[in-house]
Amino acid sequence: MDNLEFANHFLEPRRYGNIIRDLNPLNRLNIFLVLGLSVFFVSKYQYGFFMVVLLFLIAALAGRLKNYLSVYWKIMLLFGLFLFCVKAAFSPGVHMIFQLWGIHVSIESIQSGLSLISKVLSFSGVVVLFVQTTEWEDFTYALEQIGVPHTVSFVILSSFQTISDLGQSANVIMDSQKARGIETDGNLWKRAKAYIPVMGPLVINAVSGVEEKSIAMDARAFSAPVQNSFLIELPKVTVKEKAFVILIDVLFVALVVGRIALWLL
Amino acid sequence: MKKWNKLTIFLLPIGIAVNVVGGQLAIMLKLPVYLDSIGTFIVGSTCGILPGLIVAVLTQLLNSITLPTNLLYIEIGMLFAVLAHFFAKYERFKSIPRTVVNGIIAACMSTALAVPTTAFLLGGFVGTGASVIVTALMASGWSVLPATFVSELVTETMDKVIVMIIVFFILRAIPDRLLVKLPNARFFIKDMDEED
Repeated sequence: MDNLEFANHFLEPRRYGNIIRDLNPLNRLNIFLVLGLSVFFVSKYQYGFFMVVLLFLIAALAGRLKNYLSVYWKIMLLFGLFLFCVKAAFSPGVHMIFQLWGIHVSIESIQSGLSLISKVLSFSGVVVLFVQTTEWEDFTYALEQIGVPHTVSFVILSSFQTISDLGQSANVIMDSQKARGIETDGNLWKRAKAYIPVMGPLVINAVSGVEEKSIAMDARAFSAPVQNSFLIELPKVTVKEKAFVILIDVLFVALVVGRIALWLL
Repeated sequence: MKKWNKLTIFLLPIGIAVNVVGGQLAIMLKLPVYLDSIGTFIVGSTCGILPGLIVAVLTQLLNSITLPTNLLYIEIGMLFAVLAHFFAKYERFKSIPRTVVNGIIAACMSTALAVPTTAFLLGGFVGTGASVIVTALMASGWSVLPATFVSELVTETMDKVIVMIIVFFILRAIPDRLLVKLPNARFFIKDMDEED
């Protein structure tokens, strides 16, 4: 990329060239939330598993399948497998299949297990997928467009930065404390005793740096009472996108209303 | 809305990061406790309820990026933010014994909030060390509610007492010249009014 091209790409709204990642972040959140919440209103567990498959397809379509899987496999293991086992082994049921000590597997407990993990898996998938397909700065930009103050963007974006900063200084402090003779391996008590000498300096350092940070930010007009400008903008929402989101919302409301009507009647 | 104290805004990301890094450090040292609410207590006690709430909610949202079931426990962090403010207000961070009592209070209240979610929504399974205790108890014939209650109460009490002791030391170590500029300074520095 030469200099002119680099300068010019700030004049265009940011696009990823992908149908899912180019959706407005808030619209995407809306669509994903509808997908995730709809599982709680459909009683068949097959729908939940269908949603899990659908999320895989969406992830592939967005070109993020690998990133999605790298987070999601842990959830599949923890909540897909273990949660199912716990639920299947301990839920009450009449039609016993297998019984040993306190463990009793029955048809009912397997069904309740399936229905629970289908919900947990698909809702977790929605959250993971949204995070994996969204840049945080795009999300906070979209929030500011609908009137959220820019301090919120600062807090969200700065948290990520601070987490990696503090993580690094935690390692540095841990190394220094090790050099001083504090043990970080060994039995539980030894490891527990290492926690405070690391956490103490870490937090106090971070807290006392706050004043300088606030002065530095104010010197860059952080709290100036003016309209903010943006280095990167997102494309305008198209009519087609808006219509799609409204259609999905209407379908969801219809589903919820239908479900409540079924409960009441 | 009243204009926010500027230092408070800059403390929010730090509170969130302290929560997250504290939790990571506990995992790294293979400690059997979470220690992931230190930041909430510090911000809640020095800056007040609302900043504490923001820290708690954002921390939980960040945690749910990797483990979305954390969203179900979002109210517990909020409880800690409120508790932190009142602990500071009634000078419950003044000595170690009081701090330990704080930890027990916080643990009991959070257990009461967490148990219904864990027991009824997730069948006693949370995906942490506490789940081992739960499954062991259930396998020996306990039903899901008491099993979850016992395991949560044990882990929470241990966790919150340690968190409170760490918070106690950190609050004592924050220099007065910084503390005095934060919204809750009057709870920590007694002779403030006379100096004005």
